[in-house]
Amino acid sequence: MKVMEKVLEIKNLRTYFTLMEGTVKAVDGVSFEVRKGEILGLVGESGCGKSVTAQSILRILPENGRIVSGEILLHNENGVIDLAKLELDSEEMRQIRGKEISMIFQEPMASFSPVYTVGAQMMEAILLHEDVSKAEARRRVIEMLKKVKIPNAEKVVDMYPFELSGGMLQRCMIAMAMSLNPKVLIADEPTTALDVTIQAQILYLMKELQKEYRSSIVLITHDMGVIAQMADRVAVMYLGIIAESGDVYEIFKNPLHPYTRALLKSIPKLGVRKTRLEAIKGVVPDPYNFPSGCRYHPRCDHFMKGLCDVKEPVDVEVAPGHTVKCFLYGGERS
Amino acid sequence: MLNYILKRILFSIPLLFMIAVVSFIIIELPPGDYLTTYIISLKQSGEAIDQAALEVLRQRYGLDKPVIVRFFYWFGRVLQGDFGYSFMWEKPVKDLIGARLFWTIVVSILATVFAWVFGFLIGVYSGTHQYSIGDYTFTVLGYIGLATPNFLLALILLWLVFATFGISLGGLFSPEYANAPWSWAKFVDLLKHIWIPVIVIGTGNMAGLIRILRANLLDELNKPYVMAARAKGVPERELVWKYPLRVAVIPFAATAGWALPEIVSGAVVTGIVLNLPTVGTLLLDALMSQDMYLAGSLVMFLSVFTIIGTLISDILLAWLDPRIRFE
Repeated sequence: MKVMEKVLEIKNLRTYFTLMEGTVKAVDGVSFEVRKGEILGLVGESGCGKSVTAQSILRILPENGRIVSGEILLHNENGVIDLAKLELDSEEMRQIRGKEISMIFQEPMASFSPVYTVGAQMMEAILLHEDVSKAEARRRVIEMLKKVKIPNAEKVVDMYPFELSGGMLQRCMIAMAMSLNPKVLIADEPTTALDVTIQAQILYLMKELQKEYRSSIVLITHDMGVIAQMADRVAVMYLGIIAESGDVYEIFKNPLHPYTRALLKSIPKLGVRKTRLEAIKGVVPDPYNFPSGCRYHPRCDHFMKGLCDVKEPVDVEVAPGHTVKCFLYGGERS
Repeated sequence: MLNYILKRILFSIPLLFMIAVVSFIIIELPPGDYLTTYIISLKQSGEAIDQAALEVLRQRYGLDKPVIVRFFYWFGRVLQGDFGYSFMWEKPVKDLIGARLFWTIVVSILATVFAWVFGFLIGVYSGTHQYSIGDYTFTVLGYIGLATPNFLLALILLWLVFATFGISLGGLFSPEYANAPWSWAKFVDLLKHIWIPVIVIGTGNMAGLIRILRANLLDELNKPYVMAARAKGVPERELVWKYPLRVAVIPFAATAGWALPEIVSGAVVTGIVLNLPTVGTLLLDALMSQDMYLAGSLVMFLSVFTIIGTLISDILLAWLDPRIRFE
């Protein structure tokens, strides 16, 4: 396996939310890296901290969320920058947002302001980062819209979001995110709000653009199917930590963590007769009070009393690039 | 946009006509007609009744004709600017309303501007500094402002000015300027007086606007499009003004049109307390003395103001919100 150049490295990131009811440790020690030109899938159920991880990277967390510790290292021409150390509204951070790392969101309909035209909002991204005329920005927006296969791009540029469908808007969002040729594109559930048929088109489009621009994508989803179709590597998140990560073939062929296995089992398969869909037992635990020891132990099929509920497992590298946090494979702090 | 405005204006024409019908019904509602009231008042004062003069009046107002004919007769004269005759004041309604209408509009526009400017600034501050000391202070003051009846606030202000400076600031002018021709000194005198009604009438509105804007802004601040804008690198200061606020001000505009009719109907008591030469007090007098031509005309003006106000609001809204413009 050839070692590829790293673009983004997350090291032991912890992001907590302070609420009236207590502290929510939404991201609690997450580490992963994004390599040049790859698609990294970040998968997990609702509330596991996927989106918060994404928002932490761009430093666009809601006001009550803060990065407690950890590093977010962006590798660019000028060396390495730790985004976690930058001021929220500093010029440096702003120049990274949208230009070096851009993001597309779950709900395309709600992610454009209803009162400006799609074109104006797309032009803004270019004008904020590059010293070009409005006419030039507009020309580039139209060019990008054509690239994401929007028919009548010259007309769409002057349309308001409510005049376009969700799929079209997500194309516009992708066009906007790619217009400055970012190193990393974070796609936070980009197809969740769309029809299944549109989903496939959007994913295909993303993959095509990613190849053309040679950027990296962090694809956040709860859909293992999307991961199988898109990702090169996968990180499986559970309650603010990464339970297992590795090459996509490796994870699908040889899932180790009981949570990953359960996730894969719960995908309905064509041609297999089953009366019931297999769901992961239990519910996501109370976010204010995580279970002791391994966070997955109350839902785990392989729960070992006296170990799993007492100690927290650490990462074990079972194969090159394939790590898992589970006592079944070691995982005791040595 | 032009199409929309044109359409809205055309729509208001049948509305105006309907208002004229309702106003006429109000004028016709009391038993008898204007002349019977007139005759009674003449009898009461012991004056001789000149049948010929009565006949002239009857002809003039077409009182011998059926109701429908009378309506169009009246409506035709209204269109020419003749609103009938106020028997209480013994003057044409037109002469009575003119100056008062002017002052009503002046006071209401100033009060609206006052309410808007401060309502907007404080609303934005409260929305962006939720739960700060400033926000709490304005919230408390706002609730007091909403809860205090305007006339009470008027009395308190008048008393405060009188107690500290020993001058009375009721009305819009000091007695010596009331009937004087316009001069710089008269204008200065007006400025000395007009702030009281402007504050009194404006505060209630302002408090409401602050609450509306604050709530809207808080709603909008958490919308995904704000995060999306932040993610593309919009500076924080620019962000609030350009994104959430731009949507939050829309309901602001929706209330713009209410200001005009509100001062006429809502500020009657304030008008009396402050001795303002506005139409509110006139309407109250007219209603109490069954001066129906005057009352009917005022009700009509009130409604026309409401329609004009709503029209202004609608145009403002369409200008602010493309979703409305395109429907």
